[in-house]
Order: sequence, then structure tokens, then C-alpha cells
Amino acid sequence: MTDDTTRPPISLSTAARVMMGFTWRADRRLSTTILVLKLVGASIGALFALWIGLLTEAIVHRRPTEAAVLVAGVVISVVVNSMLTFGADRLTQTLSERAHHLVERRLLELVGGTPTLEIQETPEHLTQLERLQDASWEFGEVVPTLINIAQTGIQLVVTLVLLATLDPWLVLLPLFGIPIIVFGPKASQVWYTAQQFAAEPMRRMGVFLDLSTLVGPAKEIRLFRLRDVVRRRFAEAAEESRSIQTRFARKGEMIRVSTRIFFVLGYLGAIVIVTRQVVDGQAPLGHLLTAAVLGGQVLNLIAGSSMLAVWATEVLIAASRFVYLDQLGRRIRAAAAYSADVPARLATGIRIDNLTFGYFGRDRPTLLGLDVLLPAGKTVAIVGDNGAGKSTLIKLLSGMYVPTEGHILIDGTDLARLDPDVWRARVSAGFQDHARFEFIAAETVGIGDLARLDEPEAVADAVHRAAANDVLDALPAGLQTQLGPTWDHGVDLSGGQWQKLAIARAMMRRTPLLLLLDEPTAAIDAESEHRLFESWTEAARDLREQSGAITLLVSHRFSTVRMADLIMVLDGGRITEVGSHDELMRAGGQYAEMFAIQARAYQP
Amino acid sequence: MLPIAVAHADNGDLRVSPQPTSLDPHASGRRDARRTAFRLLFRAFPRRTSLLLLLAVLAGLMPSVFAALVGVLIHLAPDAAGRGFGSPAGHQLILTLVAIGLVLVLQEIVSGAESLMSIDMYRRFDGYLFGRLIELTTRWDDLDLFDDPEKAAQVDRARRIADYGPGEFVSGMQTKYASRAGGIASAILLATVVPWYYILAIVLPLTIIWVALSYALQASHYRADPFWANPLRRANYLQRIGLLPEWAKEVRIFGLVGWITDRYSTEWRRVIETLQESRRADRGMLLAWTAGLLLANAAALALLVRSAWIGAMSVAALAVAVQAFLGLAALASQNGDVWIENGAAAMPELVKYQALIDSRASAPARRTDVSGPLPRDSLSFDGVGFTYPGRASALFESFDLRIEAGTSLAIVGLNGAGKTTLAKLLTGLCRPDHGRIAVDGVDLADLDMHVWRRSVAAIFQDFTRYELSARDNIAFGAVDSLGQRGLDDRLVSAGRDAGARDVLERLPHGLDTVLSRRFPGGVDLSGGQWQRIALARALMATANGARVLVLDEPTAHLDVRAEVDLFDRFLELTHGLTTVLISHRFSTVRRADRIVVLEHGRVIEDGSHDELVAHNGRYAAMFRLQAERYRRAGDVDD
Repeated sequence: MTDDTTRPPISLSTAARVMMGFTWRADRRLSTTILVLKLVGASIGALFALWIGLLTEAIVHRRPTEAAVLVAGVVISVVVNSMLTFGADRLTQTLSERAHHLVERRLLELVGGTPTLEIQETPEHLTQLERLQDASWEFGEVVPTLINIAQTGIQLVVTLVLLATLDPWLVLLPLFGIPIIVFGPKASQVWYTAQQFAAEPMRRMGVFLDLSTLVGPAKEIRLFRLRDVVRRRFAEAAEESRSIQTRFARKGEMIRVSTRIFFVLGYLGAIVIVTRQVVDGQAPLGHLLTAAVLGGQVLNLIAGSSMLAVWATEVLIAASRFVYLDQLGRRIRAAAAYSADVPARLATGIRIDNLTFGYFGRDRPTLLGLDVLLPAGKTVAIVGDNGAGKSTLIKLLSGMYVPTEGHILIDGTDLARLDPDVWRARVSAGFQDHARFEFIAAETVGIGDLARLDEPEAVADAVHRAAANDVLDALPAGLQTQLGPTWDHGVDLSGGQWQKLAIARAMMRRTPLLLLLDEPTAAIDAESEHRLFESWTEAARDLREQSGAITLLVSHRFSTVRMADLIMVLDGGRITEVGSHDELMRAGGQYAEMFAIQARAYQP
Repeated sequence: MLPIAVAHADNGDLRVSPQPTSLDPHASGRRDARRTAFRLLFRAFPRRTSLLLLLAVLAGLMPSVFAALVGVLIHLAPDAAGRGFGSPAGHQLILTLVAIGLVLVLQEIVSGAESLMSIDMYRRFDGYLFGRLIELTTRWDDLDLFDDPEKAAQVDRARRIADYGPGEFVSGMQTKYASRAGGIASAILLATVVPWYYILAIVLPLTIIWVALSYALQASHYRADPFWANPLRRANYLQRIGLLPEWAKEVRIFGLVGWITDRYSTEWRRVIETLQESRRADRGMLLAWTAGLLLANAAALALLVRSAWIGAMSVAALAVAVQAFLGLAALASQNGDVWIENGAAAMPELVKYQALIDSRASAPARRTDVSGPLPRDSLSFDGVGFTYPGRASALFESFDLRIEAGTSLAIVGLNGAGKTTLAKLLTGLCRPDHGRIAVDGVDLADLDMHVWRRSVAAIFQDFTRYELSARDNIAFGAVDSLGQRGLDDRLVSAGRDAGARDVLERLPHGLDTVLSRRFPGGVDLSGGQWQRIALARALMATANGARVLVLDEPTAHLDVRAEVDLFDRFLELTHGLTTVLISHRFSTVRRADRIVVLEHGRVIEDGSHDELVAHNGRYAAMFRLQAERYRRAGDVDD
């Protein structure tokens, strides 16, 4: 029914079942109430045509009791149906919100709870996640949509029965609705196709809107005099998106209007038939009225149901993306067999054993046959050009990627056999592309060790060890300051300040077995980086030697790198050199060359 | 309450947002928003809006016309009964049937045209409003708009119109007008068929009661509306943390899923509870209205049936009246309200934003005519004072610096010394509070900013990553050359100079490749690759006539070899240009003709590398300290 190429391989009935499960779990009583209200309202509403016809008859034939009852019938049909609809819509909103919350919560648990980055870094999975983000409000709509379908069904049945009582031939009236049923979804589908075609220009509109109204690009937009080009390109993108959508809409409306006119002809025929019977004296006058009102109902019901069918498909496709990710997350979890315990301390270290790793969809592996021992209690530095695979290795060591070949052995135990959550409780990390957690400062740092999140001394200590006191001093409410400018009383930080807080976060865990520092100080000057690294290596030496903890550092600054106990040079996914600074300098290879290049700048 | 944004802080200083102001979440604010939205829509598209509303009203009227014709049918049928279609009454019957057919067909055509037009107007209105936002923002030609916390907050609020799909307002208006027109048509229809004395007794009260219900429902919707509610924003933020790649690594390392999820649920539950509470409060109200409506309708219908019974009203008229009863319910319809609300919500902010931008535009412009590339002689800061808006202390009090045309100057200093601000002052992105910045002796304030910026190129530390084609990314340095012949060759050449040759060659669709995975066939670049592209952009500008080149930490993302490669060619790349190089790495600035050390908004040392080393001051100390780290144990051989 849809041409959407990103549709996951999940059947819509499975998606419907899963979503109904969520709704049912959200609130059973509410679900049932809504269903009953809607069905009762639909039946009552559909009977209006009958009451009005009979009322006419009762008056013409002077039957007062019947007339009184029918007055009540009409009033109930009009008022109660309206109010039930209002009421049921309200309840449906509540139910949608609850179901929506449950589904999103589950989504968070399953995506965030997947130990590897497989979902977020595999393009085909990420597409599903991004599409879901765009359409997450549809989660709450699955059940209301299904209820509406049931409601429409009931109305249609009631209406058909009534038509049949007028004249058996009138049952054929819905046949004129066949083109609506057949082509209607196509007409609505045209709309979704237009959305897909217009997605690219719409995204482009967003790009130009952001470029011209956000602070980040503001300097260049003005300096490079891009004002006119940005305005023009935006207008072009807007016009492109509009003309695509209008063109498709025109096509859709043509189909819709012509199929409805076809039905209208049948409808007119029905009125003519009943008029004729009345004129011939074969039918009472009331039939004419009932037929006229019923015909209109049938038209709306048929058109409505064809819209609903398309809508239901869209909503269920969103749901099927969720089910897809859910199953994926379960599979990844199930594939792992965590049978070993994380050691309390490292005795020998971490052995990287013939490790090969390739990213999904790339022909060449990023890391190829790595073999090295990261000795317990030592600091190890990795150097190499951009794209040499340094960050990939960091992610493998923290269990966020699974090796394509080879093993990572923690004191001889394969990392694959350790529960990633337990292993990571003994790992800490600071990244160059650190995340900005816009919480209050105490939380932004404290989440580095959730167990001690509520201990102000622990947080203050981490800030101190990250040499980030100056950041704290500048905050108006200290650790209680809300970070992030879009929040109430929120404060914005510079890139360097955010980075210092990220380092403080990495310092929260006191006894990690592995501390990963992936260029965490790139935005900080060389002098500060040097001092920071000095304090990590010196101050924590005792602690490190006790627990055998390893510090792994990635840096482009050789003045820092040289302090490490062991240095690895990565080049094109392979380890080309390993050794201490002195050894590598003596060897006169790549390391010595790169060191010399940087050192040369400081020669007098 | 609407959270307020603050301008992006730089140089390690902080700016706190002002007290949050609230966008009135209640009815009066909403009404103003609706009116503002309608005014904007009507002014932007007077003819289209009128036509759309006309179609909506027509579509709303049709069911009443149909009901009236059915009434005629019922009226005529008994006369024709037994006499056949050939009788005069039969003829009239046939005419009525034809009219019914026409009305039904017309109804379909009108509603088709209406919905088509509404879709079109939706997009037009979106495009118009965002275009206006872009136009207003880019009219402001320096950074004060973002540096001043108050102004930045206004920008942020105006920007939010994009979050709420303002085009929805069009769909909402159209839906609302159609149901209102339908309800009013039903009231009129009812008034025409009942005996005159019932107009006051039945038609008016019924109409009023449905309209009143409509307002009551709307009011409760306002109460329930979570629109600007902070918990929902916080929940959405937490959800993004849990799901998006940006946070994925740290969420895993620190085991944050459970914590994030719990917080997410707490925020959401707060939203759900608030909403439910307001709906629960309505439950009694809904029941009361239902009872009232039942009674009123029952009484009214009983009166009409009595009229028909005693012959004061025909059965046909009764038939029409009963259908009109049904049609009146449309007056209370809430269809379209949510769209109107969503669409209109942020529009008053756009109007306020316009006022803010207009307040600046009225300043008279002084212009000194200059021709040819600038500068020929010098650039100078003469007693420049500058304080960031909203900050207590001045960054520069009286800053003096003269830069000879055609030379290179390096500015070094620790974070927060004001290096980047100097670059922003020089490029006219910030304006001095007092003193002046002069080009060949002419005050920058007297120059046409457009002309001056043609002479200046810059790569800033936080350069822009345009999610556009590689061609645009580089050619934006020389915007006047866009579309010129032979542009691509010049782009490739600028790319080569910037060390981006490999990056460009590896692009799957050459210069047409969009540098963002979000676009079909697009690719993501690494930080180092982006930096080379940004440098190519600046070099494209110098190749197109810019005589001043500002380099603000241009190699922060490059690896060792790439950085050295770039600085080895520094003299060649900047030949003939007036160059200002900003860096906190001492190793990279020594090739400059002259180096100044900036501290606390003042130049504390000034001279060539050799002079400063000989001077044995701050520069020499810092340089020696860094050099020391490479020289220990004599492991560098020449």
C-alpha cells in the first residue's frame, strides 16, 4: 500500500498487536470505556435517519405516543451522540498519552539498553530510529485509529440494515462506493508520496532557516555576505516543496472528487427510486426522508473508512518500526552470553588479540589484526593521523562495538563474556566529542558515577581533579546552576568549559580499571593539558598500581604523549610501532618523525 | 513559562538568562495570537485567503441547501402521489431532484477545491513566515542580536514558530470556518421553516446554547493545554539523550539508561496528571451541558412537533427543521481548534521580533566612498572600548593596535584574553562602544559594511559546517562568484591550497556531494576534513579579492602532519595579504612577521619571534616551557 522503501520487515498485524498490548497495559478500564462509548455513540447516531422518517409518519398518521417517543429518539441521537463523541475524545487523549509514554519508555530502555552502538551507528537501523523520532506521536494513535475503524464498521452495518428495510434494492447503494474504496486509498497515498518527494526540499528549508537564525553560523553568514543567497535558496526550497505537494494534492483531489461524484449519482438514483415509490403510493412519505439522510451517511462512512484505512497503515508502519527495533535490541542482548565475572583488579592487563573490526557497509576493515598487551597499572598513549582507527579502538575496549574477528582479553577473560553493564561500571571516559548534558552542574558532573550523584563532596572532588574549579567559580549558583541556555535561568558555557565538565564527569569514578581519554583536552591549551595529564599520572599512581588500572590516552600533542609508559602508533588500521618514548625515538620510525615535526616548531 | 535562550558565550565568560517571561498561557493571550495569525495571513495573501474562506463557507452551506431541497421534495411528494411525474407537481418534483443532484455534485467539487487550496496555502504560509524570520534576522548585520541576552531570547522565541508548523493555522481556519458556516446555515434554515414566533423561542436559544458549549469546551482545552509546559520539554530532551547518537557513548559508559528513563517517566507523568486533572474537572461540566442540551432540544422539538400536529407547520418544514437540529451541533465543533492554536501560538513573538529589528533599521547610515581593495596602508584600533552586552566588566577599555597592510600579525594569549573578540571587531561583527577601528584612516563605522566585508576573509574556531554541497561550502567564501563559469576549477584550486584535495577527490558525487548524511547521496566528514573545507572557503575569498585574512585557531582539528604542512606553506598562502593569526599554540605563530601577546584586554608584548624571545618576557617564558617538553633528554636530532 505504501511505496516507502524504508518500511521494516514487520507485518502490520504484529505491529497492531504489540501496540494494543501497550494500550491495554496503559489502562484496561479506560480502553474498554472508550470502545463502549464510541460504539454506543455510533449506533445512536446512525439511527437518526430512522427516527426522523418515523416521526414524519407518526405525525401524518396521528399517533401521539409514537411521536413523543420519536422526539426523544431524535434528541438523543443529536445530543447524546455529540456529547459521547466529545467525552470519548477526551478519554482517548488521556489513553493516547499514557500509551505513548509506555511505548517511548520502552524505546528508551531498549535503545539505551543495547550495549553496543549497533542501532545508532548502522545506517539502516538509524533510519528506523530517526523515522520513529519524526513520527513518535503516532504511537498513541494506533488504538484510537483502530477504535475508529470499529466505530465506522458499526455505523455502516446499522445504516445498511436501515436501508434494507426501506427497499432491498437500496442495499446496492454502497456498491457505488466501490471506486472510493478502490481508488480512495490511492488518493490518500498520493499525499504520502508527496511527503516523501518533498522531504528533501523541506530539509533544505530547515538548513537555510538554521543557517540564518542560529548563533553558530551567524558570523559567517554576515562576514561572507551570504544574506541574499540564503534568502534566495530558502525561497527556492520552499517553492519547490510547495509545488510538489500541490501537484500531488491536485492529483489526489481529482481522484477523490470523481469517485465521490460517482457515488453521488447512485445516491441520487436511490432518492429517485424512493420518490417514485412515494409518488406511486407504494411507500410512506417518511421513507423519502430516511433515504435522503441515510444516503448522506453512507457517503461519509465510505469516504471516512478509506481515509481511515490509509491512516491506520501509516500509524502501523510507525509502530512496526518500533517493533523492528524492539526485536533487534532483544536479538543483540540474546546473542551475548555473559558467563564471567569482572575482576576486582587487573593482574596482567588487557590483551588485544588479533583484533579486526570493520564498520557496516565498508569494504575495508578499520582495524586489522591488532595484537598488543596493555599492561596493568600503566598509562598507554595512542597516536596516529585522523582516521587511523584510534576512536574505534576506544569503543571496542568499552564494549560498544563487538570485534569482527579476534578478542579483547581482560586478564585472560574474553570481554564478550563479561556483562557490558558490569564491565563499564569499572570503566570511565572523556571524549573530544563529549556530550552536553544540560542538567544542573552537579548532575552534569555527578552522572559520571550515579551511585555518588547525591554526594556534593564527590562531585566537588571530581571537579577539582579535572582542574575545572574555574568553571564552577564562574557559575552563578555554583553546582546548582542549570546549564544550557534554553532552560529557565540556564547558563551557556564555552566549548572549553563544557569540555572541562566532561573531564570532571570522567573523574567521578574513583577506581576504574580502565580510564579512556579520547582527546578530551583538544579545546584546552597545551599547558593545561600537560598539567592535567601530569596530575592524572602522578596523583593516582598509587591507586592505579593497587588496582592495576590502565589509562588509555589519545592525543595529538606529543609533549603529553611522551609521558605515557607505552605508546602505540596506529596507521591505516594497523599497529605499526609500540614502545616507550625513548624506544620509539631510538627506532627512528613514524613516531620519531611526528615527534620531530612538532618539536621542530619549538627549536630556537 | 517559556525558557529563555542566552547568546552563545565565548571566551569563557558566562551570561545568565534574564528572568523568564511567560507567554500568557491563557485565553486572552491565545485570542491575541489567533488575531495576529489571521492578520498576518490575510496581509500576506489577501486574495487567496478570501477565496479559501469563501470556499470554506460555501462548503459549510451545502448540507443546509440539501436539507432544504429534501424538504421541498417532502412537500411536493404528497401532491404528486397518485398523479405521477407527468402532473405539474410531478414536474416540480423532477426539477427538485435535478437540483438535489446538482447540489450534491457541487458540494463535492467545492470541498475538493477547498481542500486543495488549503494544502497549497499551508505551504505558502509556512514559507512566508520562515522567509520573514530569515529576512528579519539577516537584516541585522552584526552579532549584537545574539550577544545581547535580551535580544537573543527574542530571536529564540521567534524561531519557535518553526517548531509548531504555522501552516496548520490555515487548515484550522478552513475547518473552523466550514463548521461555523454549517452551523449558522442550519440556524438560518431553522429560522426560515419554523413559525415566526419560534425564532425567538427556539432558534435563538438553541443557537446560543451550542455556541456557548463551544466556548466552554474551548476554555477547558486552554486549561488542559500543555503547550509551553516545561516538563514536556524536559521529557523530550531526556528522550533525545537516550536515543540519539550524540549522547550514545556516554550513556553507555556511565550506565545512564535507567536514570534517564526514570526521569523521563517522572516528567511525563507530571504532564499526564496535569492534563487528566483538568479533564476530570470538566467531567461534571460535560454532564451538565449534556443534560441542558437534552432538555433544550427536547423542549424545542416537542414544540415544533406540536406545531406540525396542529397544522401550524407543514410536515416538510418539520423534516427540514429536524435536520437543522442536527446541523446546529456543528456550532460546538472543536474541529480545527488545535491546529489554530498550534499554528498561531508563536506568531505574536514574530511580530515583537519584527519590532525589535525595525528599531535598529532606522539608524541613519553614514557612508564614505572607497574604491579598490582595502587596506592599502593600515588597519588600526584606536582607543577601542568593548563590553559584551549584559556583562559587568569591559573586555577592552582603551585598546590600541596598528597593523601594517601586507604584513602578518599573530595574536597569542590564554583563553579568555579577548583574541576572538578582536577578530570580530575587525570584521565589523562587533561594534566598539567607544574609540574606532580604522581602515586606511577611515572609521569602519563610516564604511559600507558590504564593501568592507568583501575585503575581509576569516576562518573562525567554530567555523560553520554547511549541510549543502561541497561546491557551496567552498564557494560561499566568494559569494559573488556563484554561478560563474570556471568556478569549479577555482574551487578545486582553493581546496588544494587548503590541503583538502583528498577530501574532495573522495566525494562520491564530486562537488555536488552534499556534506551531510541526512541528504540523499550525502556524506559526513570528520572534524579534520571539515576544517580543511572551511579553510578552502577562506582561501576562496582571498582568491576573490579579500586582502585581509583572519585565521582563528585554524588547525585545531588537524593532525600533526596536516598542521605542519599548512604552516610550512603559511608564507606562500598569505603572500601579499594582511594576515591576523590567532592561536594559543606558540609553535604555530612564530612564522608571523609580528606577534602580540594579549592579556586582560591589553597588548603586553609586541615584536617578532626573535625579538620576543630576546626580550625574555611572558612570550619567551611560555615558549620555552612548551619547547622544554619536547627537548628533554635531547631526543630531537636535527
